[in-house]
Amino acid sequence: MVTSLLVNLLQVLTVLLLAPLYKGVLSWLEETIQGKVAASPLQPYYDLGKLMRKGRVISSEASWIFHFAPYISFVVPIAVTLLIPALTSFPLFFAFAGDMVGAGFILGLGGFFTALAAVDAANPYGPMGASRTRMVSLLVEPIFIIVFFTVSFVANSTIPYVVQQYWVRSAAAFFAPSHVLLAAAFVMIILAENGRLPVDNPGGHVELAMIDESKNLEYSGPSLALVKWAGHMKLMVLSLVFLNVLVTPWGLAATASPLALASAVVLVALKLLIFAVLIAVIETSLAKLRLFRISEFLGATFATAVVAMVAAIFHM
Amino acid sequence: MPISLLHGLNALAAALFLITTFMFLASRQTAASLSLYVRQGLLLSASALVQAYALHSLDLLLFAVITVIAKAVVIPWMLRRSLAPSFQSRREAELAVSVPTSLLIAIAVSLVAYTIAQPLGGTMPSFIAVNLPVGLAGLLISIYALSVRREALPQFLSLLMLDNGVFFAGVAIATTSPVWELAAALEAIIVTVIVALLFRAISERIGTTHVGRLSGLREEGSR
Repeated sequence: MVTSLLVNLLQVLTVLLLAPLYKGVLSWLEETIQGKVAASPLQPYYDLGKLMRKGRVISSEASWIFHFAPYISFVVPIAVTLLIPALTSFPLFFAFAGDMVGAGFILGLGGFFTALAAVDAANPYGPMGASRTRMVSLLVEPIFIIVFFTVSFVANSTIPYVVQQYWVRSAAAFFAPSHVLLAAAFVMIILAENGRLPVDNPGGHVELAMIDESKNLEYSGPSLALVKWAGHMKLMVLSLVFLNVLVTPWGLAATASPLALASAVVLVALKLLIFAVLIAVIETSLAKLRLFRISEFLGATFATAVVAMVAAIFHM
Repeated sequence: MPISLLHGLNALAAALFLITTFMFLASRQTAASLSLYVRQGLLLSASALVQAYALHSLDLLLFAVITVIAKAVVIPWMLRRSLAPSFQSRREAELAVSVPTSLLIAIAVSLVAYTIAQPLGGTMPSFIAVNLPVGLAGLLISIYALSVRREALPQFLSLLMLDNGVFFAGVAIATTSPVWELAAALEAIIVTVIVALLFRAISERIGTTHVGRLSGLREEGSR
C-alpha cells in the first residue's frame, strides 16, 4: 500500500522534472534538423528558473480566475499522471480512481480554465486565441473518445493499466490495422492538442496567428512559468499515454524494486527520445495549415479513428 | 509465416487502402490525388501479393506485378506527360460539398459497406471478409468523389480509384481466374491513353476542362 503510493509519487516526480527536458530535447532536435544553431536541451529549465525569479504584471481588468488558472493548469497534468502507467505495468495507488475518460475530463477542466483566463484579462488577442483553442479541442474530443472506446472495446475496460495489458500482446497485434491506425490518429491528436506544427506553430509568437500560445499571452513571472511548465507536462503525459498504453507497452517495471524502477525510467526516457525524433521529423516536413483547414486535418484524423474502430470490430 | 500474420498484413493493407480513399476524397490538388492513386495501386498489389503467398496462386502474383507496373508506373507517367500543366499548377479544385461533410458522408458509406458485406464474408477470419467490405467502400466513396468533383481530370482519377475498389474486392473473390483480371488491369492503361488524348484536345481548344463550363458553345472569333 505504502510502496504503491510512493511509486505513484515517484511517477509524478519523474514527469514533473523530466517534462521540461523532453520539450527541450524536442526543440533541440527540430532546430538541428532544420540546420539552425540549436539552443541547449536544458533551455526550458533556464527559462523556468528565470521566470520564477521575476515579478508579475497583471491587467487591472483581471479577476480571481486569472490568478487561479495557472495553478489549475499546473495541477491538471499531475492529476492525470496519477492515473496512467508512466513507469510501472502494475496498477498503482490511484490507478482505479479514474479511467481514460476521466483523464480526458481532467484535461478538459484545465483547458476550460485557461480559456476563461485568456478572456479575463481583456486583451483582444486573448479571446481570439482562446476561441481557436476551443475549436481545436472541440474537434479533437470525439477522436479521443473513439480512440479510447476502441481500445476499451478490445480490453473490456477503460482503466489504462488494464488496457495496457490487453491491447498489444504479440507481433501480429502490433501490425493489426486497428492498432496502426489508432496510433496514427493519436499522433495527430497529440500534435493538435499541444499546438504542434500542422495545426499551430510552436515557435511562432504572432498574435494574429497564434492558437496554443494565446493561453500564456497575458501571463508573466512565476504564473507564466507555471503555465509553460504545465504545457510541457501535458505534452509528456499525452506522449506517455501514447507510448505506454497504446503503442509500445514494453519496458515498464513489473515490480516495485528500485532497480526495476530505475531501468523503467531509462527505458521510458529512451522511448520518449525516439518519439521526439518522430515528432521532430513530422513537424519539420509539414507547413502550418490555414485556420479553416484545421477542421479538414482533424476530419481526416476522425476518419482514421473511425476506420480503426471499424477494423477492430469487424476484422477481429 | 503463420496464417494469422498474413491475415493481419492483408487487413493492414485493407485499412490503409480505405484511408487512402478518404484522403483522396479530401485532396484538392490534382498532383496529390494522383500520388494517392499510385499509393492505392501499391496497396492493392500488396494485398494481392499476400494472398498469392497464402494461397500459392500464380495468377494473383501476376496480377500484383501487372498492377504495380500499370497503376504505379505507366498510368501516372502517361497522365503527367500528356497533361503536365494540370499537375504542375498548385491551384485547388472546386468541390461541390465541403471536405468535412464529405468525410462524414464517406464514413457513413463505409459503415454501410461493412454492414452489407458482413453476411457475405462470413464470420471466420478470411481474406474475403476483409477485402469485400473495403473494396465495396472504396467503390462507393469513389462514386461519391466522382459526383462532387467538377473538373474532368479529378473526375477521371475518381474513376480510376473506383476501378481499384472493384479489384480490391475482386482479388479476394476470384483467386484463380486470371483472364479478366489481367485484361482489366491492362484495360485501365488503354482507357487512360484515350482519355488523356481527349483532355489534351479539349483543353487546347477551350482552355479548361471544367465540366460545368463545357456545356455552352464558345463564341466564334473570341480566340
